[in-house]
Amino acid sequence: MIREIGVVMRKELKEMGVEGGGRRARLTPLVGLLVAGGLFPFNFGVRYVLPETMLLMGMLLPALFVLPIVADTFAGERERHTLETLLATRLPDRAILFGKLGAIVFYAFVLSVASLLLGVITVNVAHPEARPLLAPAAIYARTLIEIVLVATLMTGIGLLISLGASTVRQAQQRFSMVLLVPMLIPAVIGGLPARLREPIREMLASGRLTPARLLLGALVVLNVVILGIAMQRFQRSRLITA
Amino acid sequence: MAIAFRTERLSRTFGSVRALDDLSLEVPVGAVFGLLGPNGAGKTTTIRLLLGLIEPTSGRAEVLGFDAATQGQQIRDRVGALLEHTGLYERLSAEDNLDYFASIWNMTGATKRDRIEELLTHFGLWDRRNDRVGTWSRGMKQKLAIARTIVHRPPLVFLDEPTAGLDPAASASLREDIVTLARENGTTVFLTTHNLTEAERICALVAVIRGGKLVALGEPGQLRARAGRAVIRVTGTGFTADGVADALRARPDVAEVTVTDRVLEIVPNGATDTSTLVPWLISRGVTIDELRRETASLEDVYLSLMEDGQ
Repeated sequence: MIREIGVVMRKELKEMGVEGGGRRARLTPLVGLLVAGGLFPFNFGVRYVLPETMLLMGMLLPALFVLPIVADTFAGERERHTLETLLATRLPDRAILFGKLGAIVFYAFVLSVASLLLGVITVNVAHPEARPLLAPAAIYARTLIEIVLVATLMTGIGLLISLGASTVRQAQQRFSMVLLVPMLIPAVIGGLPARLREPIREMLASGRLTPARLLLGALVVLNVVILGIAMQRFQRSRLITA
Repeated sequence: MAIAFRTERLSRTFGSVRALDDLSLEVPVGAVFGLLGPNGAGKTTTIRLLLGLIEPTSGRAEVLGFDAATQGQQIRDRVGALLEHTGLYERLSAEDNLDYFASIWNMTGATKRDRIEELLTHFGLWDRRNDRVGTWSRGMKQKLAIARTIVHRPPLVFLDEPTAGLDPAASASLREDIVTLARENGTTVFLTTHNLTEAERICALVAVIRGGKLVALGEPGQLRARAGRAVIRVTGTGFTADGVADALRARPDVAEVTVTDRVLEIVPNGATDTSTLVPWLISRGVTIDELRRETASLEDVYLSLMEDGQ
């Protein structure tokens, strides 16, 4: 199974590398890198290396690199008439699913890490008076875990949407709708009765539960749920007749 | 005789539509089998069922000894399939496409490289192996898709209209490859096609389906023989002379005679010996330009089967 996942991952990464005739494919991540590793850190200034900013970057960076490509996974194969041929091979369902997931997570992880490194260079160049500007190693380790979790979650959701969409455009539209949900979370929490909000506030105040731990815990749970649903929904017959 | 695949009363419905209805057939190992039928007859559904990609509503199918409904994975492990579309990754090169599918079938290292080179050379695509497939002509893509289908040397291949859209030379070359595949490698070929001449040339066994139902099954020769008697068509002059047609009808080996100004059509009653017929006609003042024995083609059989259903 691991070998088969690797075969699918390699092909997916190869396709990402030459998409749109090559130039566009290379340009898209480059623009992302310049924005995430140049523009963001420049605007944040010395605050870029603060733990809160790193937490935010851990959310933003993978999303930035997953979003443009994830809708293409299954909807793209369906649109280009390659899906049925793929399903007619000996590849197990899970190898196809996790191969596609693994490729996008890997792609997003590499570019996110590259953006972080570029970001550190940018702030140090922009603020020579405050050099060296670096967050503690533990913060970087937490950010890397967060990047993997966010990339996996976004890819999982994207795959689920792509599985059910007949075109890439349709998948992108549905994914855009889903992305509105996180924006509602603060409003939902704010709307909770005080007796529900109070324990959370107390835990955060006591230091037993930090926002970072809360976030990572929530990401792990969401990942398990989303991947479980994706495995359950990935059925050859359903994909063929959809 | 070993059986490559068999279906027993295989049926599949989609909502209220019965796409396949009680299909029963058996194809031996090493045969080129042709499934003929109009669009929507159930050909693609049959392939999907045999590959275990969809489940039957009733009946069963067995492919290479495996049950298609419950052992689809084992079947897909052992077969190659070229479906309705080429299924090629057009952003990748020809070599990358073959490399991907060879890797899927656990081919590695020199074995994989040699096989890819062998196939690309055989199909005349080696020089263009690094081109993106999206820039290729339909004929080249179709050849590459066939190469991909057989890259892992499967004992059974499914080819859904492999020559559709190809020019005559490319079609002929592909037909030759299919025949070679069965003859030299012992590969069983399941072929669907609209090209009846093609089916007649390369298929050892043919089935015709209409509205999901099997309406004919047999060797092309058997189906032709079943469809009707042969016709002897004589082109010349003097057929309308007094007594020629009547005398012909009186012969015990002639069943039916149709006369026009320049053409005489004789439906023989059993085996008519044309070597006695020619001097017989000449002795009655007939001039013969050409004499030809015509049998029903597979196309005639097919069209008559389709007409029966309307």
